[in-house]
Amino acid sequence: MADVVLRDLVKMYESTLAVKSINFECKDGEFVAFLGPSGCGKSSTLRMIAGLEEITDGEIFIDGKRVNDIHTSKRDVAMAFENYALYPSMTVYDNMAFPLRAKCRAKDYSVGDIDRIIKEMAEVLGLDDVLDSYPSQLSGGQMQRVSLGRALVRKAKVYLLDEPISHLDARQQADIRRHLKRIHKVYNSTIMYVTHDQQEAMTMADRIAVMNNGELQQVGTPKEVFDKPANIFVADFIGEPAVNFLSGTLNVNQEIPVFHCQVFDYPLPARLRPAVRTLATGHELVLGIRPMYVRVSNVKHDDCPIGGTIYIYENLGEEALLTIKICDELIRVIVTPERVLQTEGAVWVGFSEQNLHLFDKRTGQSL
Amino acid sequence: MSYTMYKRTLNANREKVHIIAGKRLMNMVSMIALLVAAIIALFPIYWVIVSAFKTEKEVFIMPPVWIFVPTMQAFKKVFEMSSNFGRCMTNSIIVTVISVILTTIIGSMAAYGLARFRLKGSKDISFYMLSTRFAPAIGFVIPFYLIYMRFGLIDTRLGLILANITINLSFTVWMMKGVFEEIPVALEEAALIDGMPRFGVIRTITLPLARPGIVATAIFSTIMCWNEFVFAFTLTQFNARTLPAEMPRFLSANNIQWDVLSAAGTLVIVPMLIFAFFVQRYLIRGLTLGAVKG
Amino acid sequence: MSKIFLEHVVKKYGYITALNDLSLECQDREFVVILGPSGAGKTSTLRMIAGVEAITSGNIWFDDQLVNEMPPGERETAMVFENYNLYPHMTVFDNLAYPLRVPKRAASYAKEDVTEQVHRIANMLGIDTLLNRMPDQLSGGQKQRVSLGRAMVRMPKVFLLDEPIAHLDAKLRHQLRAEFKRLSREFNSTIIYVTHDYKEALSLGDKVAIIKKGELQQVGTPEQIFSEPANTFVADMIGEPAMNLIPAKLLIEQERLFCTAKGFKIELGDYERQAVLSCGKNVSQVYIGIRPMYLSIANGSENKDAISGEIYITEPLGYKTQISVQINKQLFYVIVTGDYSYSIGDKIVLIPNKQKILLFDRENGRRITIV
Repeated sequence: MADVVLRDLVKMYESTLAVKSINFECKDGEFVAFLGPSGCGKSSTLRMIAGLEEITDGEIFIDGKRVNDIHTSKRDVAMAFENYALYPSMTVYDNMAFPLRAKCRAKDYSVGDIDRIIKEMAEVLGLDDVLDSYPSQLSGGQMQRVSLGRALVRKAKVYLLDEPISHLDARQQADIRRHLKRIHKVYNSTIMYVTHDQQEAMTMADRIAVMNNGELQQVGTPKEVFDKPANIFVADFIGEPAVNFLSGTLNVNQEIPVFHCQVFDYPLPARLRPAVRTLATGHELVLGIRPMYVRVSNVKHDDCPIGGTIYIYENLGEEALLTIKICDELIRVIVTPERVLQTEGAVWVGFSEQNLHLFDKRTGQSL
Repeated sequence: MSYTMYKRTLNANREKVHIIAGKRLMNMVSMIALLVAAIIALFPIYWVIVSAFKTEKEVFIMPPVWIFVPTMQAFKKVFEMSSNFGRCMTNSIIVTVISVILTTIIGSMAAYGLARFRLKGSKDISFYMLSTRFAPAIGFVIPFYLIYMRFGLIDTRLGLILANITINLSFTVWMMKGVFEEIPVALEEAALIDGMPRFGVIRTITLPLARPGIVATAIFSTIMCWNEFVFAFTLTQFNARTLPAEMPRFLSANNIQWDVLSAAGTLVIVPMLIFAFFVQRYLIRGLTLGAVKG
Repeated sequence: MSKIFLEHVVKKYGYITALNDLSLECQDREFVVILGPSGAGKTSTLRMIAGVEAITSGNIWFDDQLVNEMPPGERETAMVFENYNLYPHMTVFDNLAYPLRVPKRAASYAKEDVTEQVHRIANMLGIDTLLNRMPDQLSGGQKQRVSLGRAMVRMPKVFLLDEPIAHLDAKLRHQLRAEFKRLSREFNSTIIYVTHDYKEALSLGDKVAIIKKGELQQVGTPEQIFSEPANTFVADMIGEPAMNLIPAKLLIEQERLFCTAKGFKIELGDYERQAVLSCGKNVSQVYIGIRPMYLSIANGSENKDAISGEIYITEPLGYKTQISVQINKQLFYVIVTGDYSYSIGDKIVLIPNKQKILLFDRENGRRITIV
């Protein structure tokens, strides 16, 4: 159990800058998710913490100790890889037992201990019936779970998990997510998890570090990155279905500043007015609203002042997804199926004021 | 820059130097190894070509003469000693070209069938074909000679072409099978569903994608046909003689005129060298595509 | 007219039966979704309809014509593959034009017709700017659209789609699914769409056929599949998080039907009572099925017909939270919207919406309904 500190961390491959000076602190016992699209530098960061990649510049501290020059095997980290990296000549049982049997650790575990730990982990991960099989006999999903199990059985200072469940089907992923979170809460381990799936990050992590292009976009709790995204990238990346964006310009000529779009003018709620005080009319803005915070009605009234037409209606069982066309842009709305009175034609929408986001179009930053 | 930062960069640089030095050493070692291998492989060829331009005396002198005045004497003597040499050159070209074309066409068709269709015993057929390459050519020569005698194919270009096709077909089929297996069946299925008949699919989809493999296989066949000695020597005498088969004429019991031999050898080797130089790009591309699978 | 009828179709690969006695009818211009996990036999079904896979036994009819032996080129079907299968040595334009240039169609399409049609379809799909590119220069979403365009360009009678959006990221998948729904309305063809994603099935299909390991489980409209699953497999397949399926015992006390397990005893309504009585045999071991959205959290007072347990884990999703509750070593899933203030280990009481409780016979997994 340890904390991890990244200071001015930089990684350069040949001529590409993959990680651009990251500063980050992961507290002891915290579950941190590095979230971002492929190529954003999250895997490189994790591998530098593990010691599998050279650090171009900057420092990494694990448990207060500077580990830049310390070899991987001495850093006391456990890692689960995206591409399994299982030992092909050993059974599943032996693969998982390997780290426990490794020479430097043999004194800590007796054979009975090892057996018990592995059987427990196998049960949680659903591997109890393949303990005697070899990796070549397993499916992709099973191999991934073995890789995860192998990382988790050890008592390491930090657990580094690199997209460990990306190749499982949705049901298995959901199962393992819950077990992993439970394991974290019960054992209070420090876990650093890399993924491109925002659902994984949101459901499991204490804090999420959103990355893009080698830089940290925002660091916060799931609630923070969901309710208060720092920029358009974060708003777009977190949440499913994705945020709706409407482009428009600012109009400050009236008493109340107004968001002007081709088809409608939307007076800005009080909460957002201070942010645009210094801006002039004509400043390009982007309005962001999540699909679950859009109100729909089949008559125009104060709560639903904006007109549009239903483009597509999808009934997904528990929720219905309406794609509505407003001034040439499509926005998505989630409603409960019972509330849908029509599946095509003209509708009126409104936005939930406290969940409205405003961004500067040019910089992408939140206002 | 603060002292700690300066120290840090110094340490970092020292590490980098260690790493770079390590890499450089590795590079040098591999360079030297490659150089040695290259010299061992290429020296004989260099020697033959250079000797072709020396006089008889110069060829023999020990220590060898590195700098000398090149002369075409040896080449003249080649044509004196072998009146047939010109005809041999034409024969080599004709036999090689036709053999390669026919082998490639027939072999590709067979390979396509083996790769795409699940025929009974196709695994066995593949093995039989491959096994013909295991036995040394000289084992087959006698039966060939007898059969050719019967059919009057001795000393004919046709006979040599047929022999070449027979020998090289297995190799062509083996390589082309790998090439065709690399092309996803799904692409052909998509074309079939789009309405193209099977031959159209092969013409528009399979062959364009197999082209690098076909070219590589043809190149190998060309080199093998051109250099083929045993069958050419046994099954031809005069009219259909090819270059490699003509070489023994320059070896007489009493003395060997090395300069003449070198000149003749040069005339056999050099065309292939030039050919290989120009097509090496296709060779590499084709090799990595299919041959590795086997 | 393009009705498709699969009659007792069986497909075997050596000793492995991929598809066992599948009978399915697709009406003219119907959008049929074949849903099932990987390995269920869905792709085999599609390939047999296309003609690139031989049928082991059974018949496939297009309208009233038996097509078992008909070569794929003559079947007037178009296929969109899971990994796009674009011809790598041709430009996007040539890929799209290929079906129009095959011998049997080349006669009816002059060069200008081909160009016009290709441009029309490219515009519809938003790929008109990519016509000169090669397939390896396209992104996944673009390749998918080209693949779709290649199928659309000859306006086939039957569209076959094999998990066309499976390899795209979640956001793109949602987008393309919605777009495809819109596009499909403009087609005049029968569409057969194969997928493992239940959302696509619910959103796109007029009719959904669910297959498990080569056996047909249920055929119905999306609403039927969702609210009236025929067995536990179908019930579990549709919905995220999955439907809660809890083993329980049926009890009849004084003419009233109860289902009980350690931790709860719930009285069931009239419909369930009639269903149990009408099903003939003596059923006592059942699964109770209730979707997470139909469970609510009791506040305070002890309710009868409630289930009590302990919170195992909470999963926030921003606007809603999934709570996993542990009740006798089993996990129930509940969804609450908005904020919550529960932590692990808290005791919690759940109240099911009795109208939405489903009963499944534990012996065979089938739902207990009024016969």
